[in-house]
Amino acid sequence: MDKWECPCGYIYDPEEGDAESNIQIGTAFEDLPDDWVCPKCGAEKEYFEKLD
Amino acid sequence: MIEWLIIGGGIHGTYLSHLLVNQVGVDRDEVKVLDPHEEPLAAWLMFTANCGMHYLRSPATHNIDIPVLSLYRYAKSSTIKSIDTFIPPYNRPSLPLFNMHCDHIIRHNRLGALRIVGRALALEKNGRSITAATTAGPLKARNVILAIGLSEQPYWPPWAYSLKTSGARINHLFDFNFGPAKTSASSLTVVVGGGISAIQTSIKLSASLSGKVRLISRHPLRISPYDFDPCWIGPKCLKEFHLSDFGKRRNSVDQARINGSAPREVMAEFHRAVSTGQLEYQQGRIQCASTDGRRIRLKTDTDIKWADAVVLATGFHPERPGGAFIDQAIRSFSLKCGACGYPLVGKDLRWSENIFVTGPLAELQLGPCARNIIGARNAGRLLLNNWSSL
Repeated sequence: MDKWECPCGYIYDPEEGDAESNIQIGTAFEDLPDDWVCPKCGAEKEYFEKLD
Repeated sequence: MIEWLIIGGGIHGTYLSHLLVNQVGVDRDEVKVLDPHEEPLAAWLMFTANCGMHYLRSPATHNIDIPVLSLYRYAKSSTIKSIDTFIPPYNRPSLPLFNMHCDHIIRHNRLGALRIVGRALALEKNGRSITAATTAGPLKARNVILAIGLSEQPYWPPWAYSLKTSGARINHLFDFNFGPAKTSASSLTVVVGGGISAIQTSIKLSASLSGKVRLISRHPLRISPYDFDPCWIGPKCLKEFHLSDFGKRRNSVDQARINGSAPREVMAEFHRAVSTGQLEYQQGRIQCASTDGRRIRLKTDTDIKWADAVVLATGFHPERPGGAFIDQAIRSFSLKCGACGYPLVGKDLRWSENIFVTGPLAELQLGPCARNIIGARNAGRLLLNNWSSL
């Protein structure tokens, strides 16, 4: 599954999930809730870019 | 007359010129960048080299190209395979990689051709446009962006002034003519400061000078991966910041910047140098200093030390940058400032009808990240968000 990076530098890695927002390990970026935001800076999903 | 004159050709001015030409689509002939240095990013290149930086403190997404992942893609190109690339946490680029990427972006986009070498002296209203008096002659523009950083105001503590005028071997890391004094094997060079630049400089000098090097810092050395919490890059912290009045914003900015700290890998290198005896560390506050014409006497709150040379790594003076030039612009355009002297600007970074700010001048709008690379990107985003009204 792909990693996605926020402009602030935070990287969403499905293998880690996002415990702070109750996101289970193994959740693909595309399956994150629409209201999920970057846990570091609060940016919305639309600002993230997929890492090659 | 041109459409956009950017005053200041550092990271911020260079990025915004790139954005205007290659994202917004402003004609290249309508954008000029005025800067006193021959080369783009001159202050950045000099300061980072002076202090011996190996890796940036900011992640790869904080770069001067328009695509946020540009630096990653560049790092995969064949030309840079031989150099260090990134270090955790997150992916922080090595200084050589970052600088090569900057050079690539500037060359590839011919941003150097937008530059005019000169210094701004005054701004005057000229109907609906502005005329800038500069050392390169008058420049008339529809809009002006002030992208002036702190590079011309290195901070000299009061005790250091008298040494400077008495000809002692003291200089500031961020002076444009900086060069550490050559010393003998039995000599002592004292580095003063407690932040990342001071720590990096003491490591660099301890490896390059033949004598001893001692770092004197007012406070214990602190580990922090960032110089501000990343929450200040996005709405997590900025939302509340923008709801507060400008007086409170100044306090928020000052409190949010984690001054006097360094990332873990820099501290590890520092401790290695101390353990080998190359470098000494002392916590103390220098109260006064004098010279006998040859050596420098430093009186701290705990002892007296004699040094052969002193290097100040005490950062920049926090006063509003731009000096007399900005003072004149404020008078001429009746520009509003907060009690701290910094510009009061709206969400479009507009200081008057056609004067905009970025960098530290935009601190009361961009927040604690204003002077960093990400501050330039956030400034660009605000300008684009309000493009239809510009």
